Amino acid sequence: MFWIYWFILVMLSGLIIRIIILEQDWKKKIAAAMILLPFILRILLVK
Amino acid sequence: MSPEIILLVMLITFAVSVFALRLPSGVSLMLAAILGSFAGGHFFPVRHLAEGAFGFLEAIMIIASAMIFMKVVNASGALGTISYGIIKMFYRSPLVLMIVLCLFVMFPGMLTGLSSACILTTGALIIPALLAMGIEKKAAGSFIAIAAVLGEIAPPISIPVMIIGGGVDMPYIGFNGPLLVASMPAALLTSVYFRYRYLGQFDINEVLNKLDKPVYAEYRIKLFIPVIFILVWLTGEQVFTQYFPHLGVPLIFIIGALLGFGTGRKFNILKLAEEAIKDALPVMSILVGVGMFLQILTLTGVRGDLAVKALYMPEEVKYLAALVMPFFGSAYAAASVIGVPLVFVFLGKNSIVVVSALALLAAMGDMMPPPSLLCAYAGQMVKESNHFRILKKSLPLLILIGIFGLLMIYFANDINSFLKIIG
Repeated sequence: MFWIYWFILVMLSGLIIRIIILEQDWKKKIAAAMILLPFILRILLVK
Repeated sequence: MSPEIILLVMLITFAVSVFALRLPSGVSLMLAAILGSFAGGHFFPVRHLAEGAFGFLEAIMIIASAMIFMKVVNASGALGTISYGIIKMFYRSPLVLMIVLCLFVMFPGMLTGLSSACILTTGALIIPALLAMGIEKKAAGSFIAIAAVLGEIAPPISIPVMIIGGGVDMPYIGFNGPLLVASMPAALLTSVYFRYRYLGQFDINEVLNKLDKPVYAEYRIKLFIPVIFILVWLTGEQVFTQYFPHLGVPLIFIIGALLGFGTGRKFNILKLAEEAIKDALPVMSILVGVGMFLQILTLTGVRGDLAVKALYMPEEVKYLAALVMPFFGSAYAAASVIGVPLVFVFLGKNSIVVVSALALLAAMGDMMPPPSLLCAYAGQMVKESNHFRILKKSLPLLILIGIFGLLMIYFANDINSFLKIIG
């Protein structure tokens, strides 16, 4: 189950990164980057 | 610095960055947390900010996956078919029709905990029908906005409850009954009000012509497989635990979205997923910001100070303090900033019922200025340039719902006893 959720997190992070790259408004870029913080940490901190 | 000054610094930072700098609410909450930490002498506590960002990770994943699911069932034609079917089935009984339409608008909010999901999906679907039924455009906008507020509160998923619960270390368990009490009577009241105040005679053929054409004849029952799967699994996980393994809400929604393939109209899942995440982005960033905000409130001792002070609040002021919640202009901001201390204010009453009632009061904030987010969305849909007119139309009902929320707090213990009796 852990790896399924890990994969969902990777998938959602990919979508958020795509939005950060394509988004024109820098305020929205920061908001999206904020969400990425816990996602990336959770992906990397695999016990 | 004293906890009062630190709280003041945080609130002023939040207000300045939202209203003056026009930054997104999530970013403003993060800035407020950082400056609050500086004011408390902790400077830039990376560890606490990261830990705070994790506070609502599950809620964020639920929102993201549920939004993808809602986009899929919308694109497959399932939602359009359901709205067509509801109107065709219930048009002979306008009161029942309004009740079912209200529940239909609430449906995405029940699953995602997002009021904007209701407005953007089911709300948008029924607006043409409401207008064709002769309901004036401001009233139609008001109907979907209020239904969206109630959908945000209705079980099984209510994000404002999760936020308040997260702030007082209360697990999200046992809220279904109290949340039904908070949302369903208000939904019934809304339906009755709009039925008798605004709905007259209408021509059913004209109404059906204005709706998306149903695709049931083409795809039959398989069109509804994703929706049936979600409803069965979410219920089964709670009721028949021996047959339904616990998958977690985000995974259930992702499976539901994948089941959407081949059940209806064709769609591009990547495009839909990107749109869904984009729509949910402001709310998800608010949740990350709220997590940081609460973490710094705890780190600097402000949360403890608020809790202690709340216990000494005079009885008559307590209910006035609860009434302040809608005026925060955002359900999540109200739930996180004032919702958490208010739970301590009403210690002695059943906390689960109190949190549900506070969530109802907080959710009304989504319609209130300055952002009036739901009214603005509804205004766009009904082509009403001044969205405050939609708010004005909604005021009688909002006042009644507010009074109902206060009564729920006052009678919290009795409501809990009643819920225990009916099981």
